[in-house]
Amino acid sequence: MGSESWWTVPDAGTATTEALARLREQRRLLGLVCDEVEIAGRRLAAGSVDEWWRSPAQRSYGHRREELSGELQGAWRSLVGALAAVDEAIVQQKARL
Amino acid sequence: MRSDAGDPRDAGGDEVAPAGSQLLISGGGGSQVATDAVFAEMATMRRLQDEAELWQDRVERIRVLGVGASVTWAPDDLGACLLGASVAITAVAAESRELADGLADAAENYDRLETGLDTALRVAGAGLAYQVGLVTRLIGPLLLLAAAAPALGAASAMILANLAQGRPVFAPPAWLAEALRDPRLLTNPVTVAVVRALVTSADDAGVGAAVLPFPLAAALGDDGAGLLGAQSSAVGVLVAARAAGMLRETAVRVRQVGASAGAPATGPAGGARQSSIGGPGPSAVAVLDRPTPPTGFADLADRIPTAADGGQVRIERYGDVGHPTWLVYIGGTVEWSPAGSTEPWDMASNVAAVADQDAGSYRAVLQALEQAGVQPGDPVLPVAHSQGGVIANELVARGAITAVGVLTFGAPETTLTLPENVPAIAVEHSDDLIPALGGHPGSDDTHLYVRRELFAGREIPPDAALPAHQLVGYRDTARLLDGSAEPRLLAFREQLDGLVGTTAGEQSVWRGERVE
Repeated sequence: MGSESWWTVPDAGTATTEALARLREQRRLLGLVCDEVEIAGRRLAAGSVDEWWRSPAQRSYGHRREELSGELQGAWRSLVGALAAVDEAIVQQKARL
Repeated sequence: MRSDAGDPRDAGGDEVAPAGSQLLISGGGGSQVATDAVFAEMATMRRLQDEAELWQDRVERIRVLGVGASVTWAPDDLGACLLGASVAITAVAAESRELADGLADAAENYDRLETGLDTALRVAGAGLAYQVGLVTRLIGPLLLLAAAAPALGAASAMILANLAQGRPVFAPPAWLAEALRDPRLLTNPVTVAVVRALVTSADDAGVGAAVLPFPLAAALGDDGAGLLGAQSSAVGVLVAARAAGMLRETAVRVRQVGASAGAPATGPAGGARQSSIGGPGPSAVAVLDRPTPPTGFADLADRIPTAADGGQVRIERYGDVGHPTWLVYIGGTVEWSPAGSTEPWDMASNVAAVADQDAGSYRAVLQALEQAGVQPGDPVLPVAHSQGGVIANELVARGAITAVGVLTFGAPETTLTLPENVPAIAVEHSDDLIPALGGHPGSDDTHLYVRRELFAGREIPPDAALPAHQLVGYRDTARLLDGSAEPRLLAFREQLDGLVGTTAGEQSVWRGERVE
């Protein structure tokens, strides 16, 4: 049973099906990460320390926190782009079936 | 990516909130000291770091699944997008870790500073007290003679001045009376720190008077074997006071003075409401509403009984009869006279409790618990103010109840060892003198201390005695705790939710009395 699959050369249809499965797994993982990054970004923004932290050192900390928010936003934008790319690839693969 | 915005290690040590609204957190088995905002921020950054490291793993799994032969750098290219996300997520992980580490360092440094000052004050206090005891023992008679003349002179001058001004003969001079009346003197964090050191060191004077070498005294004391300290000072006070006929302990009894409809009207053995010690028959019991489950620190503080409740102990039961959870609220000192009365929440109980002896109020709480139906093994959460806090700690440390936590407001600090798995939160105002009367906590203390200077930047009421110790102030502080995102305070509230559920419970209020 197992040895059979080792020696079978996948035809075009099988290759497309496998590619679709891989793309769908990528989409699932990307969606997961994308949602969590978005939630983390909102949480970081909601817990802003600006109201209380007033000393120079604390304002500096606040700046670095803002940079962190920026990094999260950048990650989220890239993930959204990757998700769009995977969606597009899935559409193309489906068209080949 | 990163600006030269500064070192996060500097961020935790400065003022972070308006005066009087800042909560300083320490203890809890750790060595960090910082405001609740810093601990909450530290938790936020650690969580983000953990998440970012998880995202890194997932992005790697996505990459391994295949992203094409090469990155084309087109906006819609999977490889390019994934690379961009990976770089940004790596930066998030690194940055959040650095910020969390920085805050942790700041909290450690704060602790080192505080511990250093604390130790210096303790050692200085112990050394000074030892020298006073030693000198008094060795040259006491000479000192007495030397001091007697000026003291006699000063007293004579005071009496003559009082007579000349038409004031009572033994009234203290106006400047001294004025200084003692000034609320800023007693409601002051510096005074509190000094009193704490003095209380801890009071026994060192006795050791000095016994002419034991100071290194031996230090080895026996709080910073050494812990055989001496506030507890032994309290024992000394008790011995001296009882020799003078004060602070005497008596038998106690309790009676139910209020109850909701479903609260047990009789004790577990079906006896009358009053204790087996005896006393008057059952008297009128006020009908109380069924309590809604407390939702946080403010609810808990609000339910600690005061004189208006007619009793010193409130007991609430949640859950079904087969699996009850109990909350016991224990009030603070009612009678401040050392002479004694029928009130067990008095000075005799205060000193006996600090001395870890069976205070009348402690025995009264035990009776109330028994008569309310608390069984061995039932989970109990004690919540208490002032003297009630000492009793609560004793209940937990002695294993008299199956404690699932303990929450105290303005309680004298304790050297008792609580079980490590019992979350213990001690809320103290740094301008409240009473917690300092317990001296320094023991070295294996596991309490999480939440401190606030109640009157920072605010006028101290001139006509209130120890205003920072009043329950009303602690109730206000409890509201700040409810608004805090400090992880251990959040965990305590979550634990409370799990304990009490969402269904109304039953309550009873108990009054203890001395019977001799």
